[in-house]
Amino acid sequence: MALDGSHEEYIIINNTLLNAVQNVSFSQNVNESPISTLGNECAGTAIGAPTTVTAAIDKFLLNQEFMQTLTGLTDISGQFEYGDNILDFTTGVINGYSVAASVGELPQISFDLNIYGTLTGGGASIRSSASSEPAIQEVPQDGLIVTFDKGGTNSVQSFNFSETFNVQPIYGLGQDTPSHISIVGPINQEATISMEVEDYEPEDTFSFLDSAKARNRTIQIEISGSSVLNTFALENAYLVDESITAGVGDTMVANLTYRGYKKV
Amino acid sequence: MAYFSYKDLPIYFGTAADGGGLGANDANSKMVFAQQVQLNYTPNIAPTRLLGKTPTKDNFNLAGPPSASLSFSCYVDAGEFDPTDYTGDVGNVGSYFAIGGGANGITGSGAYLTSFSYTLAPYQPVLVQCDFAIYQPLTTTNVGGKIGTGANTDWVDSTDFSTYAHGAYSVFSGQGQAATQTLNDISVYESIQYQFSANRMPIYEIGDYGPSVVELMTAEHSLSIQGDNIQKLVPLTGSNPGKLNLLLKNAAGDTCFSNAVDGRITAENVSIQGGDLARGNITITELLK
Repeated sequence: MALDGSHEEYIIINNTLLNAVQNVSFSQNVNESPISTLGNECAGTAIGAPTTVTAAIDKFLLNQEFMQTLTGLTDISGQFEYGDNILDFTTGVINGYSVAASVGELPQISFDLNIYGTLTGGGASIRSSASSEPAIQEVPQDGLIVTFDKGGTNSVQSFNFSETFNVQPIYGLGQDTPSHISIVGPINQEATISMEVEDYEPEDTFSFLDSAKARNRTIQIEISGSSVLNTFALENAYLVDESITAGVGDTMVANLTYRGYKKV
Repeated sequence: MAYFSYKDLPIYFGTAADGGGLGANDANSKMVFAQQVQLNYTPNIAPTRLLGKTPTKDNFNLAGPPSASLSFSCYVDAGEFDPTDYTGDVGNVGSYFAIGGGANGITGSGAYLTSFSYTLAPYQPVLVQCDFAIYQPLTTTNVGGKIGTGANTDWVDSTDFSTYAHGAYSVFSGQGQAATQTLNDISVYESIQYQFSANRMPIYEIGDYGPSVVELMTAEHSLSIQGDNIQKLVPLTGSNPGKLNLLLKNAAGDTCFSNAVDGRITAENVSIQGGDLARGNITITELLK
């Protein structure tokens, strides 16, 4: 039977059916290149690297986020069901995720996975036996609280947070899947804040040379419904980029980028 | 004069003379799936100055046999050029080769393998680096001594994906058992580098340009294995981990060629850097002659 629409699409990760999913994508990139030898311009092809298999999932962030609990795991498996079709994958690793929140929009979270095992179709659905994510809650505008170090009078317009993991698969001779997968620290974090300027001033240029400069700032976003659902915070946060922009007929905007790093 | 494209310059190796006609249709020759080739040729002449005479442009004398060598890196399959055919005492004639075909390319004889090496790594095709010394004078005529037009591209054998030896299909094992039982502290083999080298001595007789005898003086081969660990540190005298076999296979399951090293561990290294994993490397060397 043909697929009737997105209402027939389900993504299950580690036996948990995900809620509020907006986009799902899978891709395979086969690393096969032509070989040219002396006397023969087209001497066949050869595999030069493992096939790169990735998956991306975008969700509304309106519940206690389940996917975040999977960071650091190297054996994530799952199933994408669309209509009567099934796509199973094994040995997935989250190599990064990002959170985006801005005025007038629902907060979103996006995950990227590398798949080092198989990506195959034709299996049986596991949806009926899968558990569910925590229930979706109503998240009001004042349920998003950004904590940073530039004063509350400057209105935050958007907050973006990301974590990137250094995933190292090691392949042994004659093996088509990694014999070892490591996540090597530190985990790189980044947060970007855009705000309307009221009393904000850029930091002194040469203050960054001062050892007394704050390099452990509190930068985080807290998302609440009836209670606190998720908190995304930088560790060892320091400012790496700031800009202010002013134009005729527009308000003055400042953009701040902080980075942090934490242990695996 | 003109430039010639690589597609018009196949390389063939042969073990017997047949009038310089090495090619795909020649039973005595094997094709080389070469990625690159370098032929070096330096006549050994030295200036000769005499007391009481002003030197002229012709005051050079032959001071020894020419220095000539042929180096190439190539893919390997199960039926064509195999470097292990040329490793031992291959007699006093050496091998024959043709770059671009006999009639329109450079041909030579007296080629002796002095070294070959390759790295076996997961998901990588095997490229073998071969170095030959050439002890016979090269042809200097227009036929066999230069690259001309009309090279025989129809000599090239048909090849495809399943032809070439590849790390994805190759096998590394101990003698009759898994390699992990021989190298019991290493379980993941990230890459294996094989190296063969030989010293050969050409002996010339008075009155001859070419050698009458070429002796294989010394030969050895070694494995350098990078993995997740090393064997425990070995005594100063090294240790013998047992025989280790490398089978270079292609996608069709054919063994293109193999090497077996039964030597002593001569080096052990551990390297670690920030943001990475610790890796071990051991080198095993076997003296062949």
